[in-house]
Amino acid sequence: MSQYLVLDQPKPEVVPSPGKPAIRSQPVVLQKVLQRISVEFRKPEPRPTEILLGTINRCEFRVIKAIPVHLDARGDTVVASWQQVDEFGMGNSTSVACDDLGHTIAELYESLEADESQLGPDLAGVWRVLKEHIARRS
Amino acid sequence: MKVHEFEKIVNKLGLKTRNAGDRLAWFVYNGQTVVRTRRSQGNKEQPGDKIRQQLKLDEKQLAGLIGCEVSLEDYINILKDRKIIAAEPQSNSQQQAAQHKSTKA
Repeated sequence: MSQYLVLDQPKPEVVPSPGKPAIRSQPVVLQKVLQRISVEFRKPEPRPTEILLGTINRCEFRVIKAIPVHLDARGDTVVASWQQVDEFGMGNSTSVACDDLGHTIAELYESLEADESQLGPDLAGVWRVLKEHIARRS
Repeated sequence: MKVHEFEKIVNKLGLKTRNAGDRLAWFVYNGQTVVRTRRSQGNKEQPGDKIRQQLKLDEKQLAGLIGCEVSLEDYINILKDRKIIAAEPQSNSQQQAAQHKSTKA
């Protein structure tokens, strides 16, 4: 005999409250009579420290190779940085920090492109890395 | 890093600046753009470690740059030691430092 077990679904939250367990539940069909159940409370997943950025918020540029971004929460500010080129963005959330980083990367691309013939060795290296990851839309 | 500390570095090194949403700053030496940094607009605390990495300094050198211990000439020598800019005869380096100072004034 099948028996249905439905666990309460928590109300949706855009950002899980810190310290509150994220209960993941769904209706399941049981093939046997229920005698014993085990419930697992999962800890909320922390903010990731590494992500790959696949777009930047400037429509004239496209990302041709994902940008590895390091995320660092400092108080109420998140710093998103691309360590290979020493570039960073800041904001009060991960997405705002990544937006800021994207904006900064686009600014850097335009600046280095304009000064391409006059770059020192370090910035010439940055320019090479930028061109591997970002391209202008044709 | 406070905004006024960032501006002190900009003034001391004679960085070229542009306001484009954020305040962008470049250090130009012998006609070459050597390092760049930036700060976001407003009075928010800036991530000093990120700015330090962009300027190719260690913590002590950055503190010295904000204070009085590291001069423009010292900074040029730091960049030369780190091969960020090519080494050249001493007289040229002093000339360049003097040029930067006169541009600032």
